[in-house]
Amino acid sequence: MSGLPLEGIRIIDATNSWSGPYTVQLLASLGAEAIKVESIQYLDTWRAGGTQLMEQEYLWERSPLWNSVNTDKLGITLALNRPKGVEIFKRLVKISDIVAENYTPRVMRNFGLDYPVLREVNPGIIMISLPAHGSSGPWQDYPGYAASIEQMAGIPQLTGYPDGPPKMSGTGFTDPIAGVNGATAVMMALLFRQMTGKGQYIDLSQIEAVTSLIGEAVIDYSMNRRIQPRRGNRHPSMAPHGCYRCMGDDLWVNIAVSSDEEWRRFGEAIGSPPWVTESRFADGMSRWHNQDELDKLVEGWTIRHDHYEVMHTLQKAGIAAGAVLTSAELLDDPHLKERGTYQTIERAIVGTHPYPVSSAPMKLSDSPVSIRRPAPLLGEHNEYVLRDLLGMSREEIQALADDQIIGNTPLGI
Amino acid sequence: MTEEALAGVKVLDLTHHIAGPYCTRILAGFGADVVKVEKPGEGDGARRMTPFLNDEPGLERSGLFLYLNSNKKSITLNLKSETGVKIFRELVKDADIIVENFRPGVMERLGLDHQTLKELNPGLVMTSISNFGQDGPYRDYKSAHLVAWGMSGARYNDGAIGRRPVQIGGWLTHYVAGLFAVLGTGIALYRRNITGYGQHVDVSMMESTILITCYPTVVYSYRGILHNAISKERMGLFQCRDGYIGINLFGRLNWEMLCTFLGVPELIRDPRFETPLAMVEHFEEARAEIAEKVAGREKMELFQSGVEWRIPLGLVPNTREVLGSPQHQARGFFEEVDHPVMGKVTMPGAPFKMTETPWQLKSPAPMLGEHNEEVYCQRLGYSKEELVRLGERGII
Repeated sequence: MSGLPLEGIRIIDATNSWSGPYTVQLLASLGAEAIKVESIQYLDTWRAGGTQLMEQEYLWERSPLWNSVNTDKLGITLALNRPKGVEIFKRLVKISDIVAENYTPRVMRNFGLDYPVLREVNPGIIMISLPAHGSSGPWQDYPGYAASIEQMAGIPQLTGYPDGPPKMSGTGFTDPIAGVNGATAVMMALLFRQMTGKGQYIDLSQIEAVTSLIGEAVIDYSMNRRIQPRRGNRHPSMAPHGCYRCMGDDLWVNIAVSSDEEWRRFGEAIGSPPWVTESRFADGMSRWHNQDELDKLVEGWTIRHDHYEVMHTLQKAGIAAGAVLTSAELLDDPHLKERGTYQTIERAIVGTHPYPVSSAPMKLSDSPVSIRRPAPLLGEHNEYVLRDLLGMSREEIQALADDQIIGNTPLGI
Repeated sequence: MTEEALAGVKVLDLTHHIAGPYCTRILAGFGADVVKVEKPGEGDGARRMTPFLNDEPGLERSGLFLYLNSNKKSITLNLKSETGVKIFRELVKDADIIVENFRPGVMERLGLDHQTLKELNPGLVMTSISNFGQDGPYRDYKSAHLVAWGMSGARYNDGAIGRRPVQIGGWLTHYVAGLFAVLGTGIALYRRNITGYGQHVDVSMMESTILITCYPTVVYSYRGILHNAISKERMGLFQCRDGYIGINLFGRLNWEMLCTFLGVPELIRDPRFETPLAMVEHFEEARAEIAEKVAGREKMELFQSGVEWRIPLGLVPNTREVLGSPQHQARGFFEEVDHPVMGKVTMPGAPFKMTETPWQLKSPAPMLGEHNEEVYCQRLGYSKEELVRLGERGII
């Protein structure tokens, strides 16, 4: 049976930056109709993400980051700090299934758009909030962003070298982690609603969602009172297990050897130099204890080869190895091409670029997914939403524009 | 009384290690009946992974296994035997979901691929998690957390130009694949409830990890730069008296507030830091100025005073401090289980809160084969004598 699984589901996306927007994008990718709500008074802060630091026309439409996480959505503007804006938002809630937001709890409360209110408007509504610290507890209104969330979740203390300081991952990964958790939570709520007709409220603390990914470190402390050390690129038992320099400028490969049999094959694959049969590397325990020297010898081989070449040579011998891929290589990678990880689409103002398909990590056999529309321009779908969905007249819509409740151009830029 | 989002949903869990078990852990907490199928005598390899209670290895002593397998039942079954496969097919008949993370091709060789099993049960949703996905040139390649992290593009996002890349701590890439697997499974189940037909969900750890890095490929396509060096600088960690504190130096408004907050308002108009471009150029100097101001202060005091100014400083807690967080305590994030061998152990509970159908931690991870009798005798109708015979033949 064809058709996307979430067809017929409508989401109001009152989120900003990356976490909440990714929650909504994942569901939109699988067929839901998502309506992103911004205002001309207050743009999504991520519209500045990754833009060039020079003045350009339509700068707010040029963010590679914003344009990546808002594909498959419609976009409207609505000033929620005005009664008329709030009223329209509620009319949208009435005809929607899901509302998503990721401010600290006081924001939606101040707008008069928190869950108790929205439930009155539409008893079946599913609402999800994804603030940094969650919607309850003493820190609920504390601000947070990707870096502080990564820190508070205890990730940097586990990242970096044993004799060095804690380290940040540099990726802002906590946002999409919250995003995938959020989409999962919404699906659980939709499954429940499918059976019972009941909506509910989801309170997702980004810090909790990320801390859930280091359960074993938490348990190690609970059980053994051990604060797990930073491991660098090493593994508790495997060796060699590291990142090695390859031929070329700043190019690297990761290698992980998991057994004596793999070690034997590793030796053969690299041309059986004499050191691979030395007794100090003969078994897992010896290799692990002598890995400082081992790493130098391994790098002595990798440095003479291209990082892709090292990867393919070792993988053909059944050993886990992966080139540390640059962005150019990712876009060109034959595996990702065949898997359809990236899709090239055109968008007004920025032209044609490849974007990762938001739901590429999980492919459903009966529901092949492609990006159906680029990220919306500011206020692009005001007319569709206000006229076609809410039945407003041309005059009413014009009055909203005159009042700066809607618009297509940010104020104060 | 709370209800369960997945009440009555039957899951056959053929997963091992981290990614698959994390997926089924979440399903089980929402009320799905998860039966974990393990290899007789050995079980899931995670049973042999650290940390162990008192550092003494044992099949029922791994903290990692304990965390990932809460709320599940365990049966043993040798899928390499014909009888084992036959018994498994009996279980498939009234299952809703299978989750597996064998290497691609293994399920096919066992005759347990989705194409075959859907003839037995058209409504079956099957989720497969693998390193690189079920097709493509790298399908049969091996991976590891370190390898997956390196292949995701994360490195060229962190600005560490020329320095040896370092993996992110823990087993994050595996967990992330598990997360996408829960989502895909949930969507397929939702669809199944409408159409009556299940489908196959193919989850790739490589693509999962790509989607959690900050779009380096798009930045590259827009601007032609391979290194997005700004992000490293946004995420600075600073030593203070009793540990580290995270401070963002970027953003004009943020910088102005930070300088005022730290009592160095003269830095606001300092030409070295006055424009975004100047800030990039003089970043190390900005860092040094701020480092000096926070070196003698305590992290919790800095964190709390930052909040007054709406400056999101990050505590950099170790695991003990994470467990002691007053916010986590107020929200009841950590929960305790009582395991027959490991005793009372504290672990993260619900990854998010839901008013009607909360995720619940109901029972600790099962002992190997703990539910053989319940599943084989009560569900499939085998007698206890037959169970003994199956055991003798190494099938369970």
